[in-house]
Amino acid sequence: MGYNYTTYVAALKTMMVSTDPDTAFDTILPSIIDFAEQRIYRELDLLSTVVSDASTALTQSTRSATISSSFVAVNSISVLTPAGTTTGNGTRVSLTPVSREVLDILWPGSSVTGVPEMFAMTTQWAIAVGPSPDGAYTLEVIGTQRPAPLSVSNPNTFLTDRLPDLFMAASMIFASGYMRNFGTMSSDPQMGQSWEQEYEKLLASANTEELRKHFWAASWSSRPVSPAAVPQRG
Amino acid sequence: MATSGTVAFNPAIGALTLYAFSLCGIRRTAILQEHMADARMAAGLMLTSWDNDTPNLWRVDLVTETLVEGTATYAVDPSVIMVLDAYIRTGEGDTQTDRIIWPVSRTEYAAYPNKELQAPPTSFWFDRLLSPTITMWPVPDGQQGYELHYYAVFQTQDANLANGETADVPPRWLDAFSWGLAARLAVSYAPDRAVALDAKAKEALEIARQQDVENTPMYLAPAIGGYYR
Repeated sequence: MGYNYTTYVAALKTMMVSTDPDTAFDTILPSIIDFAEQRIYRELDLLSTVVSDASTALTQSTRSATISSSFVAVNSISVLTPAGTTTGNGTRVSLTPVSREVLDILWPGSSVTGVPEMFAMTTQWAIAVGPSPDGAYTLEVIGTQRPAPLSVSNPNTFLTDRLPDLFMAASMIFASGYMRNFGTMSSDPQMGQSWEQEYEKLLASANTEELRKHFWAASWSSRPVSPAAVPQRG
Repeated sequence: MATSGTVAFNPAIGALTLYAFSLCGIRRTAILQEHMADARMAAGLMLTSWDNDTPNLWRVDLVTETLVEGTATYAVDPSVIMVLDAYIRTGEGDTQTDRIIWPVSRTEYAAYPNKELQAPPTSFWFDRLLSPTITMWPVPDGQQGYELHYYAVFQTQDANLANGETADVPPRWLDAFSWGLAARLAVSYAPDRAVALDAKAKEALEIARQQDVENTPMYLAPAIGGYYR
């Protein structure tokens, strides 16, 4: 049984022993949802968050390009050949991820152009390719994006539909803190420690996701470690 | 399934370098400038080392030098490592005649009593200076025009990483190039793999060298013609 926004809020209120009207609950609810969603999306690398975007095109003789700011971590990038074609009629040339240093040394300028062979992430949403493109190739970027958060106007998400139990549990972690008024070190010495532990968990998942952005994750790809793949290659 | 129908495999030196790092366990997104600087140095030194095992047949070229009456010594391109076969050409068209001449060592040249003797050249001394020279003996005379032709082994071209340049080696040597580069880089960046990579590098180089020959019969004959004059 999955949730929708209404049933999720009702269940959450039941778990938190909240009765209407509860304006404080209404105020904290978006934060509860955000906490639960961010943690699950970071830790699970759900396939449902993988998006293919072909809205960006390279500029001839210009090695840099800006990809959609909706991307959290890029999995792969292809150029579609010949120049000017789209995903419907072009042929993909998959680019190899390299460090920016490699790109700067192997393709230092735009004097030599061709079909790009490699790319480097230069910022969160900027890439550089090498060699510099000899045409306006369309980029097909595949990566993860954060789905729209659960709300009144977006009453169903993958988490409420497919992972309702996990979503509720993650929600209750933050809700529990809220119910205890987030405590103080003096009234509850354990409170700070438990938040520190929670921070460490969140930090670990955030760090994993950041490593993925750099293609420094499992096997130096953008993929997280799979516990089923033992031994891990690379 | 169809085969490719192409024989165009000749990756750039940069791509081979990234592969060599991969053999060392260093992934493409973890490579920094210092890695690439060492790779460029290693590639250059490796090709230089291979030059010492010349002749590398793909670097052999025919050089032509017009000889001048009374001039014994001629400059040679500094990138020439070795002179293989040399012959003197006289005449042209139907009257053209090529005659093989023989190399002599510095010691043999020094033993010639009259180094100024002018006659049709029969031997040459390749002096391997930094700016090498070739010295004819006898010194060309004025009886006819002489053209010196010699097959020279040239130094392998520089291995530049930038702009997709390819290595100045035949594709059949690329395996040796990759393993050799990886073996050198492993000393710095993957010492745990250095021994294994060195063994693979030597194996690949040996295979490449064995195939870098002209497939012709070899004849050994004693030089005893002089006894039958």
